[in-house]
Amino acid sequence: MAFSRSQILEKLRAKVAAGQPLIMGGAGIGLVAKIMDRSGIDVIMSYNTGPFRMDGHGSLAGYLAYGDANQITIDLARRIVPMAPNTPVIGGIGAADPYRNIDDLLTTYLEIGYSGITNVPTAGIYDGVFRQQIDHTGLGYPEEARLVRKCRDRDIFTIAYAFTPDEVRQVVEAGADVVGAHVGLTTGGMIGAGYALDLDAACERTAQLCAAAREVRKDVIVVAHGGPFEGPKEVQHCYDRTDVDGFLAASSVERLPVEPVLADVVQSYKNLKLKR
Amino acid sequence: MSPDAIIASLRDIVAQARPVVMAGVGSGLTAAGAANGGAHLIAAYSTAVYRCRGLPSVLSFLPYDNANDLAFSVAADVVEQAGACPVILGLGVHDPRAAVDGLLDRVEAFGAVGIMNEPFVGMYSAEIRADLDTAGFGFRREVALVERAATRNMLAYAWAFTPDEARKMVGSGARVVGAMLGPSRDDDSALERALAEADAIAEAALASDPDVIVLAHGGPLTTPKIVREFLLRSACHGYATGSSAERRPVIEAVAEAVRRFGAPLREQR
Repeated sequence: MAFSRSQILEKLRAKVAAGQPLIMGGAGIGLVAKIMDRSGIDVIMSYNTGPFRMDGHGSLAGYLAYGDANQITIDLARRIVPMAPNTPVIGGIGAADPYRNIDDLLTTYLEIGYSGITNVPTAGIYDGVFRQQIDHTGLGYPEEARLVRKCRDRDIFTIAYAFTPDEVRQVVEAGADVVGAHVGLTTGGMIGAGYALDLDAACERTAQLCAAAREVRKDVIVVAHGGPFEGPKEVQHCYDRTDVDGFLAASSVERLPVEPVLADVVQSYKNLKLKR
Repeated sequence: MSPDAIIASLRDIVAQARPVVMAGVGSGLTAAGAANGGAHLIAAYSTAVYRCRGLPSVLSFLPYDNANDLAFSVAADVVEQAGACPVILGLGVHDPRAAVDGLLDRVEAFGAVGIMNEPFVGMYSAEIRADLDTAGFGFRREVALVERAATRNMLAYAWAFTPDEARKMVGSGARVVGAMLGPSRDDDSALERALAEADAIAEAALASDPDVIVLAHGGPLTTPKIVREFLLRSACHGYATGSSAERRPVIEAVAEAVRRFGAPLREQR
């Protein structure tokens, strides 16, 4: 069942007011969505990197030219949405899609059960000359700010990933309800990123992004994401040092927890003794 | 045509002091034009398909299509129109789900003689390339493609952004190297920078295999005049055309034709 923007915001704001941390999580398979829903997660994120991640590949596969990102997310809806009857599911839109009209795409996303939109895959992942190129050819981050603006105009809930204070300002000015303060690909585990900020630098960056967001709109919700924030311990470290309202988990709530548990279970079966 | 035969014919062209020209095409129509103009090698790849569709070619580095499907979608037309000119296809090999041999089988089935690494991760910043490498989707897969193609006696053309990449590619069996020049700022030293960059790549490639053919591409090399000036002073053997011999001339020629058909029927008073 789909939730309205005001329903979602009311629930999130109540938790923020009560001083409880928000927890949002990406689901690349139905089973994960089902467990998240039953555990009372605040929001479930569904986007094209999820299935890659849960198929054992790096999330970055969702950023290369080997698939139709938005079609993957459209197809994912029927696997995720029915598994999460009590939770708003947010769908990722690649705003640079050369083949689809964004307004029509938004209508489609609402029809298939998404309760909101996020900017995934995002141009924020890229930097350097390539980033300048896509930003200047209508395939970059400005399109994502426009996507957020369109959603706001249609009263659709949005969570916007932003990597720099400038990106934060763009999406909050466009009306983003939640900012995902992105500090890079998540490290750790078998297929995590090899390069990240250290924990204190990541907290500092998160605090900067948070400040940039609140400068534009005081009541904007900000959640931490990515980089060295691999588990509850690191996230507590972040809560102690920044003013974020919660955590947006992807790899850290589906890939990383599954890896050691399954490895242990297989090992414990291998350790059993046969009667002979 | 075997890689040895193709390299021998390209070496002949070099021996006659003529530049080797490889034409990058994204449609049968432009392949016909390139063959007609005497291209020595024709390459069909995803960025060329995008530009022929009027879309930004940078889409080949974003997740909205399967780059290999794009190249395969024009492969039959390009091979047909190329006639006697050998054709190679661009293969993106970072997809963890696609086996390289399966892709090479398809290239052979189209009647193409070889491959190039396109799309390539050299497009992204160093940080993203490092992340891609860690995730197993990095430059190493492009090297493995070249190695596998060479083993199967297919012509391996390798785009290289740096001398080190050129060395690795030639060491793995690349017979033709495309020296990919950085984006150019329009200033007086653009040509000098391009020469330094390209020649460093050419030297590295030639040190690994003296018979390798090195073609320059990108940077300020956008017009026949500049390319001529460049090749007269460079260690490169020729030029790989891109938008310079496809998007731009097509748009100009079609616009001019339409303009002429639309010329006033009588003098205006």
